[in-house]
Amino acid sequence: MTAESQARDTATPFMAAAFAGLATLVLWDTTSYTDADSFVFPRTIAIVLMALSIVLALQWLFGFGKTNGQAASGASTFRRIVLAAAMLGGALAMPYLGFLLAGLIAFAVILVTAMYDPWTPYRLVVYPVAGAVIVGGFYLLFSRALQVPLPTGLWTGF
Amino acid sequence: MAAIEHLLAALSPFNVLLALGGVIAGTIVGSLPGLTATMAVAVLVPITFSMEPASALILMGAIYTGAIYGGAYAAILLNTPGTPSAIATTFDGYPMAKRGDGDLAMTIACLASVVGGLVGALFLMVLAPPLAGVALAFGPVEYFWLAVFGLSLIASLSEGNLLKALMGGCLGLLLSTVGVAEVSADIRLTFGSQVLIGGIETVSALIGLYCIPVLIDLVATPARHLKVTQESKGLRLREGLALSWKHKFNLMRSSIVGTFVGILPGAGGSIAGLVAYSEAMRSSRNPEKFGKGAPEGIQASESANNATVGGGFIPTLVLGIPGTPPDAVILGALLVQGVKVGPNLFTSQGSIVYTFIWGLFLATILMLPVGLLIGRYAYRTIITIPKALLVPTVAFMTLIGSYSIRNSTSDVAIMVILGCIGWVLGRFGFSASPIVLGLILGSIAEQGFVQAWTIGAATHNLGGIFFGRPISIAIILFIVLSLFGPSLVRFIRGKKERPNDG
Repeated sequence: MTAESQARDTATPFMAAAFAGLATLVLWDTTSYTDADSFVFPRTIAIVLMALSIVLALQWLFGFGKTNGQAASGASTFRRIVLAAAMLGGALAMPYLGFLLAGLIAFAVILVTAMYDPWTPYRLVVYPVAGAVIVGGFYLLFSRALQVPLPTGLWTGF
Repeated sequence: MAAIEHLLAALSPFNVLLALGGVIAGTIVGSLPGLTATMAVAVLVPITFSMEPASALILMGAIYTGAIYGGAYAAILLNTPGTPSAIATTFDGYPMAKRGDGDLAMTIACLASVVGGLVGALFLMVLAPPLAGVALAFGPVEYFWLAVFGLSLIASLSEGNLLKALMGGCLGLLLSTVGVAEVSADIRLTFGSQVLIGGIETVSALIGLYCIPVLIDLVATPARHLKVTQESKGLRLREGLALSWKHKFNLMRSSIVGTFVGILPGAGGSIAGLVAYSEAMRSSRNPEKFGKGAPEGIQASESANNATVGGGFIPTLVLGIPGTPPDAVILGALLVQGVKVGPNLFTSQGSIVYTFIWGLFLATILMLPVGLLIGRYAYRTIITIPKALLVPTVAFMTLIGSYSIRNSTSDVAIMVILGCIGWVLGRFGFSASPIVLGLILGSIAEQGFVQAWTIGAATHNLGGIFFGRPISIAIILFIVLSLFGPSLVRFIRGKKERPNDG
């Protein structure tokens, strides 16, 4: 057994426990519903999910069942985290900075994060300009042509 | 003679221009993740108010059909369905693009969409009044079983681990119940959060679950997004045509499935694509190739979702019941125009209806050159754009697309968080497709189940309600066939081959 598969195996009971915990949480939440129409469906699904989680844990315990997860490769975890943080940060900043500014900042951070080639003078000029054109173009398309009321910033006013 | 008159009316230069413009606009809007066919039609409806009813219908039908097809672009090139109708297109479209056959996948999708669109329009022209009755024959329990039929596809999307796929499906079903319950208005699974009261928006969720994991993996390595072959192969139209001919029965069956699902109010292109995909896989000689880049999968999904355009117009025009969400917008526009939809529409205002149907044929045929050209351009753009620009552009599109559905920044945050959860689950063998299936089919399944349960309990005939109606029995048979058919076929083949082994 390789180190990677061992890592996955330790994850399986964790995932089974996480899903069982979710099912328990759902079952607990359904106790506050007033109408049977509201709880019959989620409660049924939660019970099924709980049963499946137990079967998954038993599979792991008795050493059968497939582990078809993807092993972690030599890819950059830091870049992954920055991407997710930039997107989430952009979403949360929209009401304060406005869609345009939040979008531009998120775009710039992700551009730098996804950059693997060396920064040449050409790229230093063209990439930011291209980014501004793309963000501005989509902003105009959605706000003007498609009449989507994109958020204006509480702090910036646009 | 009347038919020729209507055809000539549809072929007037103004109507041809409208059909062409509508297809181009619809294709572009549909290709942007988050912008649905409903939105494409709704945004452009005001333009039609000053037009003749037939011309207005032609423009709206062309936008609709173009948008449904346009959803395939992002599905194939970015693993993100441009519209929910293209969910099943991702299953085989993206694997084809990853192995360097993205251009062929785009051509196959275009050809299949044209075939599906033509079949749907043909049914609309020839059989609209009798087929409209199908919409009325489907009650809550039939919708419930139809949703279960869609969910049975989980078994074939399990990627070798049925247990994890079923758990993913359950997670999706639970996600579909978040927010205010439709029947009783109970607030469910929000845990006090205001952000979750509006529920989890399906399109935002599927953008997150499909696209964010791709972006997370894309940003982590310097490798190219899609494999690019050295020589430019062009449109690969001949290959696409040959594959379409080879799988003509799949195309026809999927188109008919799409037309019938389109007739059912509220079902829509996503269910049509999933049901057709499931059937294509069930009847294929190589079901194991599905999900790994099988052209038949793209053909099934794309022909079915475009067939829903014609199918959806059947109850819209004959009964005044919109078959799909864009039909509801079109119905509203028709009412503004003073067109009275109903059983007499085909006789009292036949010139409008038949001119429109010919216009729909025209728009669908125009989709072939338009789709191939735009598809080619989109493919070249995706494979040549540097990663440092591709990743932030797609990320920005997901932000603006998921925001624009309900003008909600909460939806954007939910989209990103779901995407991250989807990526983590993917590392442990829980693929996104069963979760998305559960999320999409959850509300239909719950509504049908609860309503049927209520009727059954009131009449003391639960068994009869769920298992006693002819259409329900037929759908249950299909579910059983979908789940156990492939295993049965393998078992029979194994038995036949065993004597030779000895």
